[in-house]
Amino acid sequence: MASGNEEKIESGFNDVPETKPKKDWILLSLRVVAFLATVSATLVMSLNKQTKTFVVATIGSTPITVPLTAKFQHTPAFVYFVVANGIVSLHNLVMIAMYILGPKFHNKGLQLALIAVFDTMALALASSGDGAATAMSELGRNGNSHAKWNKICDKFESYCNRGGGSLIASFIGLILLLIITVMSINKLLKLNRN
Amino acid sequence: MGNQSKTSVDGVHSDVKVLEMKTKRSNVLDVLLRVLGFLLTLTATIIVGFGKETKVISYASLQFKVTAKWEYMSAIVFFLVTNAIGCSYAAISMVVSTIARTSGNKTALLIITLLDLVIMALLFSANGAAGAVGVLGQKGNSHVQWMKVCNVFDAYCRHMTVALVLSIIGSTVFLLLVAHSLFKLHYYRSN
Repeated sequence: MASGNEEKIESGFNDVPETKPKKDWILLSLRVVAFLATVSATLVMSLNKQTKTFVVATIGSTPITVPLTAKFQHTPAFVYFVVANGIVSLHNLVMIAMYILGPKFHNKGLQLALIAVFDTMALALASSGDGAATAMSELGRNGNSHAKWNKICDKFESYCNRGGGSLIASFIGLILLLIITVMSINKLLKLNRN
Repeated sequence: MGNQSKTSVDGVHSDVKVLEMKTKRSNVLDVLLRVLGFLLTLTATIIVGFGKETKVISYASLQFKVTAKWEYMSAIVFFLVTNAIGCSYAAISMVVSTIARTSGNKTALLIITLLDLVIMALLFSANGAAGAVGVLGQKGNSHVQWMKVCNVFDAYCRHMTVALVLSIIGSTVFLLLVAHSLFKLHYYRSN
């Protein structure tokens, strides 16, 4: 029983349609913002590169300089971060496309359950990518004396700052994805109550 | 789920019985998944908490005593704390969800599902952090001159890998819990 298909049913005694479209716009705008956040996190981290020349030794009076580059590909944690955020932004895009192109699919129960399950899996992927990048950034900023790992953020400052910005955007996307998943579950519950 | 057999039609009676059986079976599955999650996160916590290794390195006729412990790396601390939280949450929610399911309290079940979601996200992020640090310890990073640690502390690295794998399986169990309760919410509507 498709409950609340807005204009199609002329039964006349459901007053649910007035509240339903409002919730759809909120969810859609949250998804758009989450998509923008994860896309920007992916782009900023994947274009994160900084080259700096360091003086290694001095022979006579000429210093020998070596240019060193910090790229995101050097670290597996950041590669995983970019890949995870890319997949999550693709998921957000597909969900937005489903909202805009196929609104009549939403009110079937199984479709909503699948959407909620996919949202949960995207949440898991995004959170693991964020955790890996946070651990790596914290090591880069503070170093670890027990493992003799020196901090690198004092030398490559703008690389670290850009990485931090990308991380913040990804965290915003994660929190929004959590809210979106909660709202999808709530939708499932509301459908089930009718 | 009281017996609503006001009429004497057999169809209504058997429908209620089928629904009761489905509820009992899903409750058993729920408790089973929570027990599994509890055991896995508990094992991961214990392995990380008690996995200390001390080695003596002799370098240029000097003896260094080096220790590897969970306190020395903040990502591993986060991993330990999160697994402890997940373990205690699994234990408490086992009891609460059984009580809520038998008393039919829908709000409590929804809250448990949402908390499952949050704890699952937390566990996955701790897995990612420990995985990142583990890869760094296993291979090092030549670009930043970070040397690998696992050639010295091989038993510690093996313990950490086992704990990480167990925690990943435990987080997947939490994910299955959320998916299971989502599908249960879906099937409830067919009465």
